[in-house]
Amino acid sequence: MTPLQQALARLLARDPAWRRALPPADPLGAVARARGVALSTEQQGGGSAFAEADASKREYWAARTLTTTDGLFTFEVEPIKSILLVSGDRATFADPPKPGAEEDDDDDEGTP
Amino acid sequence: MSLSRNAPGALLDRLGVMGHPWHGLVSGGMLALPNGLTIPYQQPAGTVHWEYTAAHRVAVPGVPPVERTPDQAAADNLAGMQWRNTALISGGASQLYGRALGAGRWIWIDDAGDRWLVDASALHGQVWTAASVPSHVMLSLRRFGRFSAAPAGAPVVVQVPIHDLGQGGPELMTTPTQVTQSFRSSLFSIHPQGRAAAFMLHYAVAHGAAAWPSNRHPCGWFELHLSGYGADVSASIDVIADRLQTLGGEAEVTDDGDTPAVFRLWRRSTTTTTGSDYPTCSGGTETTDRFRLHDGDLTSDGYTPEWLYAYNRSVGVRPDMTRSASVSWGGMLWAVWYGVDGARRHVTLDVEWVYRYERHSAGVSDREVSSTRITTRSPGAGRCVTEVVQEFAPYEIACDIDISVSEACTYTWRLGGTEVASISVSRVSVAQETTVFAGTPDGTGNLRSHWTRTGSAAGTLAGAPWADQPASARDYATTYNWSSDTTDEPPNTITGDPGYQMAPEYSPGRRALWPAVTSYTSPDSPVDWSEARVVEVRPVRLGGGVVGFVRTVRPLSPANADKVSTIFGDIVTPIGAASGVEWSSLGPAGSNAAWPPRDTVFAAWCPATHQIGLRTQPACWV
Repeated sequence: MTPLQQALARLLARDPAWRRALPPADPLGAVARARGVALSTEQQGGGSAFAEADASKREYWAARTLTTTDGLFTFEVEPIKSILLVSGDRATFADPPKPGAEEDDDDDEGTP
Repeated sequence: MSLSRNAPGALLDRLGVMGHPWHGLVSGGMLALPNGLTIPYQQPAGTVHWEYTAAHRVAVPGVPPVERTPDQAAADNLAGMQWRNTALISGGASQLYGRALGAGRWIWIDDAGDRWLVDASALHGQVWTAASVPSHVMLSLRRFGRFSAAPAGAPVVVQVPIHDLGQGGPELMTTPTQVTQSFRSSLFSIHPQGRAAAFMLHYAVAHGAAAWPSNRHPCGWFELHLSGYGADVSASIDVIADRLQTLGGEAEVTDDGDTPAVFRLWRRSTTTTTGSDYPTCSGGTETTDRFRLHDGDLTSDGYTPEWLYAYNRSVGVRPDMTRSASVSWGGMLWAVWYGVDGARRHVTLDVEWVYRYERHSAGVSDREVSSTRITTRSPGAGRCVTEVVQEFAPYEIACDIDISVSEACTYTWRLGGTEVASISVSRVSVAQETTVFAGTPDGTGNLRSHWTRTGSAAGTLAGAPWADQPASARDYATTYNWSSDTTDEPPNTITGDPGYQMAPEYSPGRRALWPAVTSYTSPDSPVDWSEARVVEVRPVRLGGGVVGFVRTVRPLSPANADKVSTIFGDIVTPIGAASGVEWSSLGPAGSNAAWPPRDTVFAAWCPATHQIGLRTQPACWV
């Protein structure tokens, strides 16, 4: 990434409206008999389309408990649910499978 | 502790297995992994010997077994990792995941399944006397093992009353003659869910050269109970066994008598004097004393001219006698462990000792012996001078004596009342003795005693002979000098003092357990002293989860070429006897010292895999 591109990236992070100043993206080329295109994050090549705008705007799924195999240590975590993109849209993630029904109970709220 | 929302696993990663995969025996600061490799690892610490090897199983209810795919299992095996659904608290400092929680601490899973770090250090490592046991202790609990955004919360402090630890029982013997008042309290075993912990009260015992780790014996047990939910914990202390129960309760003791003070002596029956030197102050006299066999009491009769004596010592033999004695007691509480189900399992030691001594004499007839004193008198410078020409005409008394001694001591381990291991040591010796007392008037005060002894001796240790001396004969000759001999008993009596060798120490007000020590040597057998051996058997606690017996055979003389042989076996663990596990060692040549040196054998039992590690340095399973 050239210094100019780096500067643009920083600018975009502060104000997504500067996107309009960017040159249009190169066409991806013809795809035979394509019915639709759904690009993964990798396929988008790290482009600016999937950039988080504000970490404080994240949303989380309900907390669940991860447990060591011996049951002695538990980690209460909230999986990421959505993030705010620089485009103004929200990227949403599916609720991941819970580690186990017996470990899903929020059993750590009884703190004295 | 709180957890950031950005902690591992909170993003898009796929979380595999979490926990502590490093398990095995740690010794010398190295953990031996199942793949054959070793890695540096924190050595579980301790203060008293068994703490270095103590390991306690922690099982959180409802935690499923760990499932690994074949590929994952293969990778685990290659890396030496083991994922378990239980944990171990190791060593006296309660080490978990390679980190010490602290001495006297453990994990309690309360009735809601929450985990708490219990700090019972006020009950651990304390030195008390029966009078100084506190009336209560403070217990603290903190939430453990939870990483979440919720506040950690303040520790919960609980006051636990101690009503009575039952230490008013028999006196504790540090040595066969020294009483100790103080004892120490140590956390000994922990319930799998931490709902209870057994504490042992123990005191120092010093006996014999082989100061094995058994030099601390239990004198009491109590249990700390926890129940309820977290901050509303209910804690109490109950006595498992008071001092008398821990020492094994009252013993059965039989003894049909001590060695009689009566000896068979020859008492003067008649005195005949011939000749006369009066009034001429010339010529001489000849006095003949005749003695007949008589039972006399040395204490009351003393040494008088009434008895056949040489200068100031009587001549006699011991009377016929038999003596039987036995001591037995059971239930000496050596270990309190918790099973997988949380139930307590008690390991007790039974002690049984039997002894019999018989001595019969024959040919000690009530025959007459005589002693003659011849004197001459002659005028001297202004007075008569008496000169003893001959004193004690030669006499000879012969007698035949049979002696037999048998002695056996048996220790038995019981787990939950069921016998799981036992060891016996015994000795049997018989001797036939023909003794001739010969009074020789050589004017120097010497009297020769000559005897011929034929005998055999044998002994078994753990079912195998440790000494087997076939019948043989040997001549002995001793010259006593009556002028310098100061012993209280007639030194020329037949040998075979009916002394005990293996008797465990017992008296109603005092109690101690000494090892069974016996030697295979004279006077009960005609074995050359240089060939004599000492065998020693003692129960030992070589680890937090291991008790057993150690047997040592060593030469009496360090000059002997053979080495001290020590075998530790008959191991009992919380799940029963461990067959086929034995540790043996030969001491350095040319030494008859105790071997191995004190506190250099450590036996570690693993509550997870039931493996036993025997090492000569601290070792513990993690």
